Amino acid sequence: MPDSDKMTEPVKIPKLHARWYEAHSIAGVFGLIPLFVIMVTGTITFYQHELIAWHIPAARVEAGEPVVKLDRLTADFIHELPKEAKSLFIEFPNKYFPILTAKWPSQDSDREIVRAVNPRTGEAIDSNTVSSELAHHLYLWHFLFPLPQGIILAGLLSLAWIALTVSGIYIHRKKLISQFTQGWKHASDRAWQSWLHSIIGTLTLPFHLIYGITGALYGLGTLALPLVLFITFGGDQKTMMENLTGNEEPAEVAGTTVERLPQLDPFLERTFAQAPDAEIYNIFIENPYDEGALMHIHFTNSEGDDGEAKFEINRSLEPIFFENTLSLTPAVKILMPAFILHFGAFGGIPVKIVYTVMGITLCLLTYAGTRLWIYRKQRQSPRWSLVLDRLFDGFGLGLLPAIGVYAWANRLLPYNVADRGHVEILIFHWFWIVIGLGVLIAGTGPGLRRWMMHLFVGMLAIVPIFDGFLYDAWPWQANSWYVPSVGIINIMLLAFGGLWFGICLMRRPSAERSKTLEAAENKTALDAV
Amino acid sequence: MDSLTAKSGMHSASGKSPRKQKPRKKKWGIRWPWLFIPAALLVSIIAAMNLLLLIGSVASGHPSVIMGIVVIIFPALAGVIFNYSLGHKTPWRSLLKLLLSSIVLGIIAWAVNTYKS
Repeated sequence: MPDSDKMTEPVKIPKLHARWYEAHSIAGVFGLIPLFVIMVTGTITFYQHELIAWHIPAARVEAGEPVVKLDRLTADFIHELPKEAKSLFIEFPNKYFPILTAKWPSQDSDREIVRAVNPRTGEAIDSNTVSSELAHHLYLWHFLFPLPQGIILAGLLSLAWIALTVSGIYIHRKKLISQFTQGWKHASDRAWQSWLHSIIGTLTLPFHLIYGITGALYGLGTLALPLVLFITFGGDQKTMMENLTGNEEPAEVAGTTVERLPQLDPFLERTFAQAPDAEIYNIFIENPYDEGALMHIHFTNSEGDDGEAKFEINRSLEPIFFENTLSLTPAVKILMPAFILHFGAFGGIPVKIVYTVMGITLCLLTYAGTRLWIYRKQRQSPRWSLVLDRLFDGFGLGLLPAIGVYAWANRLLPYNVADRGHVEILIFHWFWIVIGLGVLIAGTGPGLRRWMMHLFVGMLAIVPIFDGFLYDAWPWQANSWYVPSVGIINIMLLAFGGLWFGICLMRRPSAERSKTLEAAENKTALDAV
Repeated sequence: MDSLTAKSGMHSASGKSPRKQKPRKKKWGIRWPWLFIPAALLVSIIAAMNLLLLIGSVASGHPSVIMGIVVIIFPALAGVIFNYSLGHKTPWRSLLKLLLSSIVLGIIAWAVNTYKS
């Protein structure tokens, strides 16, 4: 046995504090990049509804009265619905999206056929104009849906987040208050990042627990369902679904096809007769041309609760089901608060603003955590530290300019490009991958990070200018305020861009400091390798 | 004594005895952390599921209420178990113990369910 082994002392197990410090670091680095992506996209998609009208700039439609007659609006396209269609979904205009849309599955691809109508004039709107999915696609990225088994991965990351929160509280338990009095100035960048990380972590503590637990519920909740099926329903899937979502029986296919669809207005009138203050938000018809076709009319009643009416449209005008206020199952009543809490869907805009501030600070927390890990491991495992540095900057921070490119593609792509909405997504993904791989190969540094932030803010700030030149919709023009959220978003983008670059110009002397930092960082990286 | 001889512990040219070499401390750390984290996540999910399986088997009440409670408790419970394994003195051994105990819990839950039906 070599001498060195004889000299080795037995492993001394450190105290819980040191163990959790190690665990906090490892569990953190395991999911830093996807967590950053989840946080950035989550913060943006708090405003998913507000963004819908913003990302269809060519269809500026003034909101009108609620739609109570449908046949006039669907007359131009309803004959295009194939007799084999499995469903027809009609979404009524609302304050965020004042356009009526009808969708049905395509017969020869997995896409949907979409038809759009201006409800005030009855004019058809080109479906390519409303094909953008910017807000919805970023929402999908919040759950990592575009990745294989992404939702499960998001759930696992949320579990790791719970662990990070608990270990973080334990590590900083003795300085939870005193850290606030230390001041902003620190001798080294590492000390500054460490202070920032713990300060932000402490300020946002309740949100870690909210997002960690409810996020894991979203991601891993489906894993618990087979378990529930076994223990409480004896394997009876149908009964379980009834207990979860209510008595939702799918329509029985009669097998007989009708020649033409009936007029839909009488069914709407029948609904309004029973619920005069109802505001219909969508209609869903299962197997429209089948004799047993079932139409669900979903509406909001005068008290703001959801209601539903069901009709067998090819058989009778009488509803087979009507409920002015839908009763929720006990399971949904238990789970609902978690969902509301996750998205801040209570208290309106003030709560959303608080959630947004917290979302941005959580992005900063992840960033500072990454920098800390990189600094910490620079001597022990320099290669891993270098790889994480490049991966995080490329695929984590790289998401920011990629979102800017997505917004530009949304404004600049010609409208004759087939499947325009999907091309936008392709451009977004390709740019993100290219920037990620580019940084991985070419390296990174404070200068590049600063440029990525400049690109993100600058590109988004230019979008309102595009709106002015390309769509004749400057923020001060009335057509920017047809849907108020569009005008507000554009003004905020301009204001934030101006503020950002104003501060950058004022702080110009600090560029010297960042050059020194960059030189120091490069030297350390070179020494390490 | 020059730095080379000092580091290697050899006698220096001056003939003085070398400094006594200190025993090296083996550093504690989670071995194979890249494997440990996914394994710990998996085991904590299995353990939480089996524990809830047992609780759900012996609990009585409206099935829909049990479903809601099981689904809402599951992630928090899995998170706590994950935390436990991360902070344990012997992390890999704790995972093994958790896995074995969750298998035992699962077998008991299965027996209870079979007896009930």
